[in-house]
Amino acid sequence: MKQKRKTSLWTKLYSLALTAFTVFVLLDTFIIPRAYVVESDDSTGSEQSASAAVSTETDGGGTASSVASSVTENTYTDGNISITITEYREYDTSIYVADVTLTSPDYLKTAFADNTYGKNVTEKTSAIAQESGAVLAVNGDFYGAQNRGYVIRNGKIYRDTASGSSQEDLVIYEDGTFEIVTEGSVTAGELLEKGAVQVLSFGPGLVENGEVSVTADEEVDKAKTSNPRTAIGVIDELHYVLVVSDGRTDESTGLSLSQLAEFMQGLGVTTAYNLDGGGSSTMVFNGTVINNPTTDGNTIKERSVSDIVCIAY
Amino acid sequence: MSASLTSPEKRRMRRTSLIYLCITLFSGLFSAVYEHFSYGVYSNYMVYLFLLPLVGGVLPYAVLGLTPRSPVPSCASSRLFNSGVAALTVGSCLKGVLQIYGTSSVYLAAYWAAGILLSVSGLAVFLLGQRRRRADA
Repeated sequence: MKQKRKTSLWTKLYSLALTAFTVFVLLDTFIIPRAYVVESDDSTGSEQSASAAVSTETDGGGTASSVASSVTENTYTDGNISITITEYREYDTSIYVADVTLTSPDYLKTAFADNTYGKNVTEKTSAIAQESGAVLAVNGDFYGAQNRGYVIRNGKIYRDTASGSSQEDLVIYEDGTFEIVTEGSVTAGELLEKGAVQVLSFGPGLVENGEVSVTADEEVDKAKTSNPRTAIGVIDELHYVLVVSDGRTDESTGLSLSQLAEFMQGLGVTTAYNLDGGGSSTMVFNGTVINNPTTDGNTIKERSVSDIVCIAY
Repeated sequence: MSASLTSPEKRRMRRTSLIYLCITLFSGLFSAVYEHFSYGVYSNYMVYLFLLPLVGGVLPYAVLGLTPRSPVPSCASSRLFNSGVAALTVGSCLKGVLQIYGTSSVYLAAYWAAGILLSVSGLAVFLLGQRRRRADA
């Protein structure tokens, strides 16, 4: 009887410890925010939403000038930025394409949630876009969900630990060109020395040298099945496409990685890269979410993310 | 210590095996439901979650409970071994959840370390007990 009571006590204590530790791990992974670097407001732009007929203080050469913008429901044009949003219907899915032409690579930017590099620091894509003064924004690579993988943003290294030798990253250089590299082949420091301004670590690469580089059964810890997707590609010098697809709904099944790659190739890109998808996939244009972001397929709702890729001054 | 099939120790082994069978079935069901709502994102840690209680619990305790002359582990060795299997099972489930979400945690290593340490300790206590009994006999 005495031994039975001891066994029971051990079981209770061990179960309690196991449960408490598991709750801690879950809180640490998903809830508890940790800010590692808080950027100054100057680094990511003004805190105003781009909207119709807003005069923006800038130009491509760095000297201030007043640029009047012309905005419609699907277009934005000023002296430096031209954006056209087109909705496609392919693979039983609505796909939103932002065709972007810039006069300077400086306008292709990234921004962190709460202007902070950290773990579990998240905001909705539309909120980060507004804080960054972005005309156009899509969700980024959700770096905060990972403990490893290069993070270089706006010319600064935030994380230089590789997530794996085969991890494919998108490198955006200071001249606006794209390259897809594997983290095993180069260090974050070397990328910065080569002129990398942004490094996004999600993937895989979809198109390289105009050819589809993802196979139909590629999974790389992400789904090969149909899902909402986000991708970015470059067509030629300072001419980009940002793409978001719906998915998980009755109206849109979503895209597989190979379907996304083929679609991007059809747009004429030379290089294209897959960003975080699923419930994160969101495109914001002029302060309005234009796709139907959803995690469970039932509720259309933006998910909070770590970072965005945006077009902003 | 060996016992006949009707002894309380053997019944305890069979009852433990049945409890593990319930845990195995629950793990399989949990994995199936979780994977169903994961939109095609799979994790082997989740898919094969049921193997841990099956191989680490159902099978060994069934063998011990259904084999007439097999030895019966002490409470201490069972306790340690069961704790190890529990840590490995919970760790595998958590790893699956995190993989499907697309994230990871440095703390997962604690489950593997605790699981292996406790399981091996349980086995060691069991084997040392058998050795001592043989020496005494």
